[in-house]
Amino acid sequence: MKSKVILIFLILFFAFAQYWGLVRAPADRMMGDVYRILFVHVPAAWNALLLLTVSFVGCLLYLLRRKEFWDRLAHSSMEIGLVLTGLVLPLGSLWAKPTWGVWWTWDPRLTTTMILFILYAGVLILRQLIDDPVRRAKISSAVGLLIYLNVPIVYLSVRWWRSLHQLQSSPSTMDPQMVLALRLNAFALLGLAVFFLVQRMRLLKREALIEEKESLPPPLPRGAQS
Amino acid sequence: MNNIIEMVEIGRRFDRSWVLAHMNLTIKKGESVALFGANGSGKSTLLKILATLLSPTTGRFQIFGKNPEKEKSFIRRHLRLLGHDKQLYGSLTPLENLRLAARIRGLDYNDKIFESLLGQLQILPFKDQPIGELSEGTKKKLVLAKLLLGDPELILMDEPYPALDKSGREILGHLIHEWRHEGKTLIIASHDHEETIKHVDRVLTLQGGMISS
Amino acid sequence: MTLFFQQTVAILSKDFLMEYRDRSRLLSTLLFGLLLLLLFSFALSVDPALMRKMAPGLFWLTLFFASTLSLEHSFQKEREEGRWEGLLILGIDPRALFLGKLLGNLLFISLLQLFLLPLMAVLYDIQLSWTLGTVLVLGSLGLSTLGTFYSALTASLREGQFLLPLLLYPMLVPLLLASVKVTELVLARDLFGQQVAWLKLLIVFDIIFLLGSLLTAEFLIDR
Repeated sequence: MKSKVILIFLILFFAFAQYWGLVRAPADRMMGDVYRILFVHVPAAWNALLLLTVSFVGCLLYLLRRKEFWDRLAHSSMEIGLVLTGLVLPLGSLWAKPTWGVWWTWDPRLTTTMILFILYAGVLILRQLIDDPVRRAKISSAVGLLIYLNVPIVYLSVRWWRSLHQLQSSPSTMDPQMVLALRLNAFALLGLAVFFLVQRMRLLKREALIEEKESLPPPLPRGAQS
Repeated sequence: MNNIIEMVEIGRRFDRSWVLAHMNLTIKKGESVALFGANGSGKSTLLKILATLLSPTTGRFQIFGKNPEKEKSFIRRHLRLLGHDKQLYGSLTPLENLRLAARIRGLDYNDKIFESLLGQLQILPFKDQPIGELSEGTKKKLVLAKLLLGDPELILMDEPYPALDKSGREILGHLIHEWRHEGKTLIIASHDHEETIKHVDRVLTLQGGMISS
Repeated sequence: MTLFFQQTVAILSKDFLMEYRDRSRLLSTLLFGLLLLLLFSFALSVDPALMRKMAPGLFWLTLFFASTLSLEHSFQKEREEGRWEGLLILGIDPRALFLGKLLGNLLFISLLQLFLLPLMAVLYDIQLSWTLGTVLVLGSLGLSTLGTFYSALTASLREGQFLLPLLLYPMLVPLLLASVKVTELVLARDLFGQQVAWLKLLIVFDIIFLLGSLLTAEFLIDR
């Protein structure tokens, strides 16, 4: 019940932020209305990176502390981060086509995002293949750790390789309305992401509980020594 | 430290089924114990947990007074497991297999010692032939030779008799006799009740993953 | 010599002996490499100038694909007859096992390189030079480090072999870019020292993953 109220509130807030971005913020002098896709593209990218960072922390703390909580955090944030990463790419393409005239360019951020998507999808497939929960947690944490360490290296290498991306606009060159809309949308998406994260972790915990309950050790037979 | 193994409520689950449950077990230093039970009664699982190759789902246990979560390497250094698998390398010779095991265990043996081990098991003539070319009985004897490396305190045997020929059985009987004389602790899981019962102080029977009396 | 290094050397020399006795794996990998070089030139171009330009990229791709076969085998062979557990129960340090396998794979990949280089020089008409050596060593070190890591990982799964390329190749992207670039620059007799930045990147990559995988190897290798 409580979570439904929160979800409705978050959706309303997201709709409000979108309204601000689509209607209240002015059209861009150069790009016209096309730029408005940034109000979902950029927040999705920010939040994806944030969640993948959270999953790195989860992996690290699991290996240090060996508490299931950290594995659930790493797993859930990886899943949601992957969904967001998957969103960033087509949204970016939608913007790139009218702006740059191509759907895809070998720009470092784009390319890195694509590689990230494959890497994290790999970890989630890997998780499916390990039955023992403790082994699964250990192995996927180790892999998650290495992948995250690779992110800056991948980015740097692709950037040296070639570069074409729109430089980040600094807030001072943007209309204050645009800045506000961007921030509103970032927080709205963050709220939704955190909501899903919490729900996913709860679900994982319940699944673990059910499995544990359904498979309690058999009771001692009468007359057996104990 | 009189008890070499202390297990409290050990259980192990694979997916949804419990292969081992409510295992309470104390084994004293120098004891020799037989583990009987039908296929799938949990004998191998119990031995693997004791050898720290498998962690239990429930319960806690100590070996040599050490916690297996924390002092795995100490425990492994002081025990030996004769498992179902031969754990040998087919393209290496018996001598090379023994040399590898000794180096990994950190034993500084020379070839004389390996040769005398092979001689003890009557397989010295095969020392330079790749194992893949040898008979099952010979391979199994080589596995026994590996057990003799170093000075383990606890020896776990999982079905030692099948694949051993007559002379192999005699040698193993002799070895077990010697180990007991030296005060080592033995656990023998076997279907061969007659052969095993000669060598043990007591018998544990597993049924459905539990000890039945 | 401490126990750790004794174990590492024991694993390395055992693997060396096994591969030496059964040379079919090495031979088929070398032939596969040769085949790939041929296939690439069939698929891409007959223009010698173009092939010369693409040679560095094709060389590293060939190395990646051909070495995958032996990387996969590196831990897979320990799964037979319970050898993996046998090593653990003898008290092997998981990191020593990892390092021994890594050095074995490094040796194998270096052999593959030594075989492919002259072939490249002939088939694609390029000039070899000694400065190429640095990038070859750094590149194959990174390749064998991550390759060994994922080999241990996928071999410990019941049906994980098909995952090896999927998990390994995207991790190797920086290594591929850096190695190809440096190779290109060396072949083009780069006089402006552009390759220094790339070499630094390769070194950083190698160090990070060598440390990272040694620190986490235990979780993959031990039960």
